[in-house]
Amino acid sequence: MNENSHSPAGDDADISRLYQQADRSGPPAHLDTVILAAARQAVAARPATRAWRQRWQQPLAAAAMLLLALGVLWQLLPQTPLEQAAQLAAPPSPVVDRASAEAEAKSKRESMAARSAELSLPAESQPPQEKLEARRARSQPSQRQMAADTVSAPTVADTLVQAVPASVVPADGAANPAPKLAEEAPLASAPEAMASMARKRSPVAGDAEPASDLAERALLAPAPQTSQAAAESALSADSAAAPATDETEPVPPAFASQMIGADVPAAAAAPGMLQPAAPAEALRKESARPVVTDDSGVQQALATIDSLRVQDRQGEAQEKLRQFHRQHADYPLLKLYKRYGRAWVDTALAAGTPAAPALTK
Amino acid sequence: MRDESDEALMLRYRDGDAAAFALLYERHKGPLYRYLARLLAGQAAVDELFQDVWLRLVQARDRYQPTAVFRTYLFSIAHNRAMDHFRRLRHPAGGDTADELADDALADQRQLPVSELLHNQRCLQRLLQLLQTLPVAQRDTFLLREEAGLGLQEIADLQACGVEAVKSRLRYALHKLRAGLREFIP
Repeated sequence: MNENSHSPAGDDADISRLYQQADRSGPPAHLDTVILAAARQAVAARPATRAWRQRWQQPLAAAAMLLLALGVLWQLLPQTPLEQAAQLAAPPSPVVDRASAEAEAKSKRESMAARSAELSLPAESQPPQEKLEARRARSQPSQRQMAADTVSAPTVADTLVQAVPASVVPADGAANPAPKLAEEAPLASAPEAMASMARKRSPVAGDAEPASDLAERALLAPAPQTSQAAAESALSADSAAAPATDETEPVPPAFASQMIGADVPAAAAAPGMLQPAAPAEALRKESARPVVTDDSGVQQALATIDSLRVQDRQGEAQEKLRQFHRQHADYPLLKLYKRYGRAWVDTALAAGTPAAPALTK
Repeated sequence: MRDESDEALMLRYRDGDAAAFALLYERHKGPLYRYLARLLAGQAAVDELFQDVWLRLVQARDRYQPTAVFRTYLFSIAHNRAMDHFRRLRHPAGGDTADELADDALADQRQLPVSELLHNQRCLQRLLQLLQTLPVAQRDTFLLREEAGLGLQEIADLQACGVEAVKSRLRYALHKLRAGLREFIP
């Protein structure tokens, strides 16, 4: 017997039949009106927006899933040979951009050097030409020193900031901007700093630019050769051609030596000039910067290496790098590291000279 | 549209077809109203609950899913509302005490004269009177069976009890009705 269907036997069926014969009346008419009106109103209040959403929900979800799957599949598929060829044939735009940027920076540096050459320095602070050449000869450090100097540039700047006499630093911080961080120092700022120093030669606190700022700018200049050229130009300039220097006080010797990278003894400072707290020898030592040859030949060689690397001619590129390194031994290794990666440069140099890894360590 | 099932009509109404609701209402308004009218006491309460059940159906149309028979769904709403009504009145919805009271009432009715005609109007009136004397649980079970046409399992699900309990309630209800109608049904 089916459990769900209760079959009344005998008299029970009669009772059920009797019940079905009873009054079959329904609800009163006013209830029908009220309920049907409420049902219509509910439907009219919220038209087909819900129906539209429900109707399109599943197709839209399916389409979205399909798109996602296609996207993932597209990412997972290997590149076609055409795309690979297009990638290889594309010019190495970053290299071109970098080369043009460096060329632009170089022209800017040259123009700044020319500008700084117009500025005159006190005759007493100008070192002799022989000392300049000796200084240049001394500033050819080994590769290890060069890398160390480049890496520790902020430290050197800090040392110089401490060495600058406190009287030069303006007492009022609001009168002049705070000393800039080493990272914020503009490129090729040594001549510019020297020019600005020459323009603002007032030792009065509050009027002069912060000495620490000047020292940092001078030390963090990335192109010491440019600053040397500027110094030479400045030194060779006729002191009589700048009568304005007589009206203002001379540049402190420590700053002058920083700017021009020359040996300027503290005793050579003019009377009344501010004396630096640190000895000039220490400053000279700290300001010894490697000379970097940064001309168009360098950029051309680097661009050649770039193109060889792009063409996946690694062997030739490494050979070119070794040649470049032999020809331009003073070019900073850090720049090469930044450009090509340390591992690749080390590998290239190690292949040429067994002693190279020890130098680059 | 008249041949469509209750579930299809409810889906149409959910999608905004008011005519589908009118058809549904036409199909089920009689059984539902009689179920409530014979389960509850008082015309006002019956009208109120009848309207409330349909309005709840209207409000819940967005959540309607045709997972069960529409008639079961509709009568489950009505059953729950009726039980709430009984709870508000603190009327016992079932149990032995109600059964004993009903038995006492039936004992008084046994003194009526016996008629041999099933279609006697008096017999029908007697049946409805006897129905009102049944305990609520038994009356509810009998009405769900007769008006909604639900099976034992559906009634058990609706009343949140076992099938055996439903069988027992139905058996008791029929037995008492039979005993009260012994004068009319030989």
